[in-house]
Amino acid sequence: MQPEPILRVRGLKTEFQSAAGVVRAVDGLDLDIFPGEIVGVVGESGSGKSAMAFSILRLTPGKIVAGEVQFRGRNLLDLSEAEMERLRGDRIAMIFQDPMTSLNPLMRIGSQIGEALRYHMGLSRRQADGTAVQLLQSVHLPDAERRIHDYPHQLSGGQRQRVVIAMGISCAPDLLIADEPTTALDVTIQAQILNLISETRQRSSAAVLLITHDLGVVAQLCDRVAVMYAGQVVEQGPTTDLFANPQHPYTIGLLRSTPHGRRRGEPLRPIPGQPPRPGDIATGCSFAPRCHLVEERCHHQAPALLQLGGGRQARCLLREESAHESTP
Amino acid sequence: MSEGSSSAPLLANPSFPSRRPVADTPFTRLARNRLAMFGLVVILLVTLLALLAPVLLITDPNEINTAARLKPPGTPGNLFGTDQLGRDILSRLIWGARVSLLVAVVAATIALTIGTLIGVIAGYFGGLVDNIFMRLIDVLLAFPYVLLAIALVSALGPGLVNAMIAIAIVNISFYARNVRSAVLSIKSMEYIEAARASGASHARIIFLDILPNIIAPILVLVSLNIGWMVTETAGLSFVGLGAQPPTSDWGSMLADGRRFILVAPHAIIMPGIAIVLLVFAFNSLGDGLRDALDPRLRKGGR
Amino acid sequence: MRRYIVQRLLSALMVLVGVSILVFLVLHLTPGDPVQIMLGPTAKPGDIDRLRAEFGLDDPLPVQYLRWVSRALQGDLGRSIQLNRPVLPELMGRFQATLILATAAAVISFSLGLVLGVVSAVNHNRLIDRLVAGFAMLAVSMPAFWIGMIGIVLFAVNLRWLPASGMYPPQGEPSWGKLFIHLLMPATTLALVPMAVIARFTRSQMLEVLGQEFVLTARAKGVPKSRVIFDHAFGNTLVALITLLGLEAGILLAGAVYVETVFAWPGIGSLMVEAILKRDFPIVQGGVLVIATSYVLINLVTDLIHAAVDPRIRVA
Repeated sequence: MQPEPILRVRGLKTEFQSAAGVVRAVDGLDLDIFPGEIVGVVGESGSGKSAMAFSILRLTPGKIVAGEVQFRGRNLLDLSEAEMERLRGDRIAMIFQDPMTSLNPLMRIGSQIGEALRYHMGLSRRQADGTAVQLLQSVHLPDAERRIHDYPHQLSGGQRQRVVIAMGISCAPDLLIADEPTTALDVTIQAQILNLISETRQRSSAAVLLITHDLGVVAQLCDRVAVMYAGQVVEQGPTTDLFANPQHPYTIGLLRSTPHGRRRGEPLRPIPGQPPRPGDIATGCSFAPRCHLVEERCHHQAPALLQLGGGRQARCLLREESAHESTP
Repeated sequence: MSEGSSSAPLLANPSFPSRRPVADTPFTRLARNRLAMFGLVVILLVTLLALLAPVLLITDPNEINTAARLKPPGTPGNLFGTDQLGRDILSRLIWGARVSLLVAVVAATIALTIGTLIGVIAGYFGGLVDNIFMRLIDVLLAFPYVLLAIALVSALGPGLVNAMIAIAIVNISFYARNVRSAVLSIKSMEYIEAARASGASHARIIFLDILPNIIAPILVLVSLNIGWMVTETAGLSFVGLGAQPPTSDWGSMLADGRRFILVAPHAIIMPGIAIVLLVFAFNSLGDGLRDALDPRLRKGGR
Repeated sequence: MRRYIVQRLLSALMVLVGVSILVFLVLHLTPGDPVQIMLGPTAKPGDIDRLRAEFGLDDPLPVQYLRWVSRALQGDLGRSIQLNRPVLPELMGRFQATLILATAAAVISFSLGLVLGVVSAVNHNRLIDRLVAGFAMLAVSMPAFWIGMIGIVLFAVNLRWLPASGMYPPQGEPSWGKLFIHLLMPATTLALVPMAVIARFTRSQMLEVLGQEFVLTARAKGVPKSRVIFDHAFGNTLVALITLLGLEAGILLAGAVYVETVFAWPGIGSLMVEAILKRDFPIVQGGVLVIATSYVLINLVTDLIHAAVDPRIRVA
């Protein structure tokens, strides 16, 4: 039997007000994350990956209209804002995409790392500085003692992202959400940062939710992977399994369209059509208009997330015969 | 549920494409802006009244009637009351609008022409030319606007035409700087590079490729600037450096009324409201234009 | 940082030279012969020539300029004996009154503008935000000289709360209390436009900062919303606001001309208006030079403060 998940998201729905009316960015999302694992969330931009991450932390500018976010047995959506503040940065931390903008230009590096330490662990400024030095050393930033007195503009992009990671792990969180942590970096730096994230996980046993659109990153780093489409998880499972034997037509298309997923010698094939815009999801399967295996019923019947065994799940009517049971 | 819109301003919007309304052009954006439309209507109305002043059935603005001095607003025959010589304030406001608008528009045109020329040349050619022009502009900017106007008027002598020239000169730097940065922002665009590579002359590139593409920002500059010029003309007239009798604009009406502030405050209230209304109209139209033409600059947007 | 300071000082110096040339030229290219104006239409040609030579008006322009500048510089150092007329002491006395007025207006406009801007930004798109925006729009559309007169009608004439004009009452000893009472209305009038400008700038700056990722990062660290606004957003907004100080000084010095005229405030602005109407050019020239110089210096100081506060410039 599997251990209890540290994060258990069920039926999460998040809506935004836009000029075009209400837009549902996250649309009934289910996701489990177990202690110490790295889960990759992949999908095209606009699939609701970031909206999901911000919803978990309750930092979304939109409105969470339904669902639960169980974290260590408590529904985060029931907590008061003050309780949420105690949790953020302490038990659940987040790393952002662009290290150029995610640091306050007017605040010394040390103070920014120390902020969470002072709020959550009650450290003094001095103690926080000391811990900040250790943290910077642990993310392999040379000259940490001097660096804590620097301002962000004195650091390179890669160095800043190390600082951001140090900030994220400062209170040894149980869950680290990393939203495209390498997208804004040079390719050579990307690898270093990814190694660092993996190293961090091993040392602190934090679970990591890694949001990315780069399947190569997922293959390299993640234990499990969840594929998002139109605000839902359409397939999830252990990384090697899922890559070797994708079940959902969208996953198949996604793998074929990137150099990491296709078989050797096979040409890259983009998925035809455009992802639905978060406003116009109608009845039936949201992927039906682009699906190469589409059947008539797909346009009318919304598929449930099916348990396929081996920790595999897929949201596709065509997999019903191979499913063991379906979730409500 | 829990996290509502209360935290909205604190958060960057996670990127996902949102659907745009069907028609979203600068024109429709402007048309939807109620304040800007209000401004446009006021400007058109004032312009129309000013143009039609000679044919409107209103009292002669210079007709003195000592029997009816400083009558309050609402007096039959003198809707806005009369001034210290018994002249009809409404009629004087309408005729004064001709002066105020004309001065502002002419001054704006002069400043716009010279400023745009300087800005385009400095931005387009760059290097030494740019340096020289910009140092000169820096010197102009070293004077608080009104002060430079006052210095110029004192050199040229008080009078409406001189006030207009002074106001025009003072605003050259405003146009030159803004036009220059607009030129710089499009100078390195591909179509300009392409034109240059194809051997087009500088004049051709400036007039056919650059100017047409910076008309939108220039339009915004003008509408924001004219309101300021209306205030400034009135100000110079108010302190006696602008319109000289018998010519009269809204500023000199205020100066006249000021002497009777104790007994007839309406003599300053009416012209003041006229100025505020017109300037407000230009400012709100200018703001609306800016928002409509460049959504990135939208108030409060990023 | 040192290089920046040196550069900034040099450019300020260049601008000052340009300013002095411009001031000199504007008043020397005035149509009409100043000696002719001085002596009146009945002057004999011989007298005119003699006086022209005496004033050095026959020398080439650059010579005249250098002589004028060197005298002005000596005047600045307090040796006003070199000047034929004591313009400087007169200007300085009046300039002091202007500084008092402008400083009071700066304090009012900054404190209120800042509060209004932050309140608007934090309540983005709510009623209070719209009210502040409307007020700001109205404020920048109202000429100070008109609002001043309305204030006089309301608070001096009808309510009799505040004096209508002057810096002190005509009789009796000057005191801080009396100054304060007299200062209240002109300073508030002068403060209106810059207050609106600051409120709008603060609002847009604050919104921009609040939309940046580091604010979100701070929230994700568990920093409470109010502390994020104060520790992260407000600091960044304030630094940006420093760049507005120079503009503010310009608005205040310019607005002072009108406000002083309306309230008979004995400042340099009203002095200059009187001087122009009386064709008293030396006062005008001196006044323009003093104001422009102080404006250049204010801008210089502003930039240096900005450099000192913003680490992106300081540590570079």
